[in-house]
Amino acid sequence: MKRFIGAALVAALTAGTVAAATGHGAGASGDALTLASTLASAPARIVSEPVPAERARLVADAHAAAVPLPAGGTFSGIRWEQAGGQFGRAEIAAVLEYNAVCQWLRARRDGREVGVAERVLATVPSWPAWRGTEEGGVLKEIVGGGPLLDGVLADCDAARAREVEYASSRGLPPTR
Amino acid sequence: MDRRVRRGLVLALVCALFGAGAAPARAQVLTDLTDWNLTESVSAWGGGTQFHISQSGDGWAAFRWLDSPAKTTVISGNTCMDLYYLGGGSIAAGNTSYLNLFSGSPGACFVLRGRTAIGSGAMYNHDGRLKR
Repeated sequence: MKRFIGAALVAALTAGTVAAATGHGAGASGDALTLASTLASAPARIVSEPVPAERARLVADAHAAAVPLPAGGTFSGIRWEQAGGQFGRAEIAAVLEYNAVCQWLRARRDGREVGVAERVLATVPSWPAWRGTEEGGVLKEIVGGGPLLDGVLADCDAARAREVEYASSRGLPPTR
Repeated sequence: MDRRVRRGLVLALVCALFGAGAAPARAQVLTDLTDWNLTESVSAWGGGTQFHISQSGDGWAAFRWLDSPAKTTVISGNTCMDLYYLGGGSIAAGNTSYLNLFSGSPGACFVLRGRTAIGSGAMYNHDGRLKR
């Protein structure tokens, strides 16, 4: 039994790693909506033991499969190594989730998977990273098209340019 | 002088003297950070709490220690989406003045990261304030 659970865990972690490195397992619209809905009802995270920066990408890759992305999206441009130091697991998840919000905001604006993007973005305020927080309220306003949207989209565009550069410098597939 | 004209002049004088009609002062949002524990390895406040630049402020994010820090600390703002370093700096031991971290557009999301100076050891339970 232990061996079975261990094998399943390794398979899940491997799947997450592959998904994060090669694009994303949730490229299909249905998968994205399922992941968004699952994330919205996921329990709140607790603060955990810190993860050193050199291991953060591995932990992030394992969590990546749970976060919906538009087709062609990756998390490969996040600067775990450059930021350095240490990260909590909840913190790693929160960075992935905010990065995903940016990718869906850009997809909606650029006319890619617009219907799916609308539905995924509608679940964003309930995602565990900011559920019930001030930031969650701000994100609700942003994804709803409020006055902060244009500025945040500009930040997302700038981040995407940086991410492509950073991922490419590490030989990883850049995000769309 | 006509009484209505005189009243108008008096009102104009009062407005000029006391600044009525001038642009209101911009209100920065303040967040107190209680018991921030720092080591020589950089980590985020609150396990990665995400903040944003307020709509009511001047666009700057700034940080200060409320109680005098026992050690030199290095504080920065990094983006929520890719952890890019937005800005920051070093705060000397004993300094409780604000350090401007970076300027951003309203709604810009960031995390606050910090550490103590290399070789100085950890610093526990010091309170800070974020202005954004």
